[in-house]
Amino acid sequence: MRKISRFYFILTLFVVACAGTAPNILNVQAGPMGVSAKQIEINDKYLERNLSYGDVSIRPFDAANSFEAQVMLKNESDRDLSFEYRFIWYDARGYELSGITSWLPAVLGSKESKGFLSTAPGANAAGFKLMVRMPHGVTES
Amino acid sequence: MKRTVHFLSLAALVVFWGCASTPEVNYGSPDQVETVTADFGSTDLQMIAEKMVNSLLATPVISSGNRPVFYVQNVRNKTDEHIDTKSVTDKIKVTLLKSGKVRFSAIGEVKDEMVNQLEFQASSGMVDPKTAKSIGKLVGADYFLYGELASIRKSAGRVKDVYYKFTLNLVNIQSGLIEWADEKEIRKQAKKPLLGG
Repeated sequence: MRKISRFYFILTLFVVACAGTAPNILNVQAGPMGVSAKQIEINDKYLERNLSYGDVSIRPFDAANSFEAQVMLKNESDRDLSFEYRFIWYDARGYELSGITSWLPAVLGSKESKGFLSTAPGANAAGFKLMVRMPHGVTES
Repeated sequence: MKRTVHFLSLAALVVFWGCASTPEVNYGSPDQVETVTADFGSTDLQMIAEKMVNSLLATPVISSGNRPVFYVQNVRNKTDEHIDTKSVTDKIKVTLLKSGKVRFSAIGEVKDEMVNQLEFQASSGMVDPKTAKSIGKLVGADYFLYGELASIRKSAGRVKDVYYKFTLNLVNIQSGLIEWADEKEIRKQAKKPLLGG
């Protein structure tokens, strides 16, 4: 009986380890003039301990309301950290704007900080989400 | 009790065998990171497109708001893999077009079809002259994009290392000047498992 319980415990651990984790999300309301609000949604405590969101800066290009956002991410751990990230832009009514929204892989060395850039896909962009999660892409099965 | 356990084990084995005999097919999200092999894949294409689009949208040529007209020259594949480089430039083109800040000329891609259609409309006598499009009104491109994809591949023992470099240039057709250029580097490493593989 004890053996069976142990088996199920190991099986549960295996399933949990293989399952994709929910992303941590940085919600930012921003325009060419800067950031008006930001809020962090934590869904993965492990990632929160190891990868921190830093400053968000906005760089306007021109009078046509084009702008670029940069979010600093820092690896707080003592070893290299691989993760996936993606930017999703929204207009003022919350509609998703066309752009490249794929999950992209990234690696930060120990204690390394790096700026992650994304350009607003249109002049009507009013904010974005930067989602980060542990790698769980499509791999050989 | 022992017989029941044996029977259940056998039944489970049969079920697993039954499942294994047919390939498992699932729909996946095209947004997922793909690391099936170290060869050029969908995530590499998306990483290149993301970098190039972000960089191009920030260049004064586009951000000035004049909606310049581009056309895409080919991207040379200098790697030792068969890579459809047109799908990379198509991804960049579609994302830029959706931004509404650039227009693309189709002349480079469908020149013969356009010439045939214009000649047909002008001279076949089958098209209402009021709706026939006249020859000589095509919009000339202001800039063209060209580039190349190169790679360095190394392997030793169980480790394979691939480095890709994608370079894209934007050339002003009037002046011949390269107005913008950027590159995206990608490094991928694959390690064969000690057992199997």
